[in-house]
Amino acid sequence: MTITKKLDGDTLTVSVDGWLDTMTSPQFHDEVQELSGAKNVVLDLGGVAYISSAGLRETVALFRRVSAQGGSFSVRRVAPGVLDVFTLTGFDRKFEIRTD
Amino acid sequence: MSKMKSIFVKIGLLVLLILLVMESAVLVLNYKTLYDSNYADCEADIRNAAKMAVETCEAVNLYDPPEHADTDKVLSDICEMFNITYLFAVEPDIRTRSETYLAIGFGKDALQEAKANRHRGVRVEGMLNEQQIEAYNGNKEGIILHEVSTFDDTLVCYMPCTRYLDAANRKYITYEKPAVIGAEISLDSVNQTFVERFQKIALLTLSMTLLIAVAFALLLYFKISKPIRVISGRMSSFVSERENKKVEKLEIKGNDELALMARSFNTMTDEINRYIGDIDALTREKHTQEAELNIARRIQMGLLQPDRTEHEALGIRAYVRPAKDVGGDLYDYRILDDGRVFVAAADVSGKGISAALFMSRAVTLLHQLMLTQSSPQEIMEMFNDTLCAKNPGGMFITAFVAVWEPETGKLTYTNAGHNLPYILSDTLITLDQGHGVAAGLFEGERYENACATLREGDTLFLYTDGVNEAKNADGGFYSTKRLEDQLTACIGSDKAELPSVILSDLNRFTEGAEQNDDITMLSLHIKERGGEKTLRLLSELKQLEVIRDAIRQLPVSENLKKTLFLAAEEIFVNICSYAYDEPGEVEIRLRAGDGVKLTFSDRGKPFDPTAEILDIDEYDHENAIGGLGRFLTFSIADRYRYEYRDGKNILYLYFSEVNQHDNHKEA
Repeated sequence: MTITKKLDGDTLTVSVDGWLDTMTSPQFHDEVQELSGAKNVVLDLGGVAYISSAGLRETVALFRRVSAQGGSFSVRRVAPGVLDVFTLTGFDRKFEIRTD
Repeated sequence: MSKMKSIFVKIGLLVLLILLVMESAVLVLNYKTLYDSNYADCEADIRNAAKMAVETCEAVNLYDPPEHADTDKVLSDICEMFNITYLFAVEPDIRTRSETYLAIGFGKDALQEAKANRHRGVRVEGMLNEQQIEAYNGNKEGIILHEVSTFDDTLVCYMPCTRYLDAANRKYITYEKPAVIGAEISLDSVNQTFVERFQKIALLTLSMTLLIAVAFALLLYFKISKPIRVISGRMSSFVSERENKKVEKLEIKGNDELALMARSFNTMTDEINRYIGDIDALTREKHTQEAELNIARRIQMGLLQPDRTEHEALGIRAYVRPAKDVGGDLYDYRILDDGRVFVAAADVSGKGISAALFMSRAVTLLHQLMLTQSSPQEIMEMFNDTLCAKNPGGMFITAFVAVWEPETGKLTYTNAGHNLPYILSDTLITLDQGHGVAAGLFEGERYENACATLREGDTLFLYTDGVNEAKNADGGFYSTKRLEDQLTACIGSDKAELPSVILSDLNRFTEGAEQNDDITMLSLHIKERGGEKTLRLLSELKQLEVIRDAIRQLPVSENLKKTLFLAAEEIFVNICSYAYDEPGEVEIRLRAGDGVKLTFSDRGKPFDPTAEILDIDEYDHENAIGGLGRFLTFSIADRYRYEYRDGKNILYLYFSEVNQHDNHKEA
C-alpha cells in the first residue's frame, strides 16, 4: 500500500493505493498522524479495492480528529465494494462519502 | 587359405634338408675310407707289379741282356696289367747317388716326356734315394716311397733284383751289384679317377635322395595332406551342409590315424546331429511352455482389477510385474455402492506357477469377501480360515486390507504380515498398527482393525516387498528408506500417480539387473473436490495471505471472493488476537459448490463470536474498538453457526453467490 499526501491551502488530500486491511492499517495510522496543519481532509480511496474493519476503524479515527478541530472530512472516489462496507456500517451517515 | 603353408611342404623340406646333411656327412666320412682303400690298392698294385717285374727280370741278365730280350716291352705289359705308370730297373751307384736305367716300361698314364727321355743307359745323377739304397742292400719286401711334389704325387715301390738265370747253365747267377726294380704309380691320375668315381657316387646318391624326397612328398600329399584337406573342408562346411540336409559320411579307407580321424569326424557329426535334435526338441517344448505361460499370465492378469480406475471422489492406480511369467503378487479393490472403497495388496510365499495358482485362489476369495464382509478384520479372518482349510502345500500369503469411508475420510485397516503401507498427507504417515501373522498358516487366527484418516488430497500407498527389496546390478537393495524418500518427495507434487512415479525411480535403480521378485504397487488417491481446500495454519497474522491465496483459487465470482476476503480476515484476525496465548493451530476448510462454505476451527479458548453481535446503531464511534469485524462478517454471510465440540471452536459460514449484504440471517 502506498499513501500520498497533498496540501492545497487548508485542505489535505490523502490518496491511498492498495488494500486497507489488518496488515496495512498500522501504516495508514502512522501516515495520517501529521496533518501538516491542514484544517480539512479529503481521503481519496480511488486506489483501494478492499477495506476491512481495521481500515474502517482508522478512517473513523481520522474523521473524529478532523471533526474535533472543526474541519470537514470527506471520502472520495470510493469503489462499489468498498462503499458497501461503509454503507453496511452506517458510516455513510456520519461523513460525506462520494464515488466521484 | 591361399596363404596357408602346408605342413607337409614344411616337413618335406625339412626331411630333404636332413637327408642332404646326413648324406654329406656320410660322403665326407666315406671319402677318407675310400681314399685310404684306394691308396692301399695302389700300394698292393705297385708291390705286386714290382714282384712280377723282379721275377720277370730274373730271366735275363739286366746288365747284359741278350739281343732278343725285350725287357722294356715285358715291363710295359706289366704296367698295363697293374695299371701303373712306370716300371723300371736301375743300376744304382751308391757312391755318386746316381742311377742308370737298365730297362723301363710305361703304363698308359706315363708322360710323353718320360717316354722320350728315359731308356736304357740313361744315367740320372744324384737322384738315388734312401729307399733304393735299402732295396739295393737286399730288402726284398718292397720299399714304398710316397713322393709328393708341387707338380707330382707318386707312389713308388722299390725291390732288389739280385740274380739272373743263366740260360746256358740253367742256374741263377747272383749280380755283383743288384739292380733295383721300381714300380711307380701316379696318384694324380689315380686320384682323378677316384674323384670322378666319387662324384658319380655322390651324384647318384643325391639323385636318389631327391627322388626319395619327392616320393615322400607325394606320399605325404596323397596319403595325409589331401585326406586332411578333405576332412577339414567337410568340417568347415558342416553347418551349411547340415542346413541343406546334405551331410554325408566321410569314406573311411585303411586303418591309420587318418581313418581314425575320419571315423571320429563321423562319430562327431552323429553326436552333433543327435545333440541338435535334442536341442530342437527342447526348444520346441520351451516355446510351447512359454506360450502356455503367456496364456496363464493373461489369465492371471485378468483376475486382477483394472490397473486404473477414475471415480468422482478418488482415483486408483495399480501396477504388477511378476519376476517370472506368472507370479504370486496381487492387488485388489472394490468400490461399494455405499461409496466405501476396499483396497488390498498381498504377496504369496514363493514365485512362479505354484505361487500363481495360490494367488488365483486368494484374489478371487478376497474380492468376494470385500462384498460380503464389512470390515478388514472380518475379511482377513475369513480369508485366513478359508485358505487354511485347503492348503496342502503349506503356502502362506501376506496381505493388507483397508476400507475407506468417504463421509468421514476414516480408513480402517488390518495387516497380515505385509509391508507397512503409507498415507501421503501433509507428511508421510506409516500405517504400522493392526499387525498380525501372515494368512494361510493358522486357522482361527484373529486380526484387528486399526484406524487412520485419509483426507481429501491424501493418498494411500500399498506395495509388496518386490519394491523395497529390488536389487540393482551391484546387489544393493532399493530399500524402504529410498521408497520413503521418493514418497515424501511426491507429497508436494504428484500424489495421484504414485505407482508410475515410484516405478520410474525403481527402474532407474535396477537398470541392468534381473528382477528377483514380483513387484506390486497400488495407490488410492482421494481427490480434492470442486475447489475444496483444507488449510491448517498457525494463528499468526502473516498466514492471512495463505487464506487469501486459497480464496483466489476458488471457482467463484470475484465479488464473492471479496466478501470471502473480508469474512476470512475478520474471523482469522479475531482468532489470532484472542483464541491462543501462543500461536496455535487453526483449521480452515473452504468448500465451493453452490456458494461457499467456510469453516474455522481452533482449539483455543471457547468463544462464541455469534453471541452479542454489535448493534451498529449503537456503535461507539468515539471508542471505535471491538465487534466491528464480527458485525461485518455476520452481516455479509448468508448463514452462520457456531459450535464447541471435542474441545474445538467451530464456526460455519455460508456465502451465496447472490448479493447478500442486506439480508443476513441466522443459520
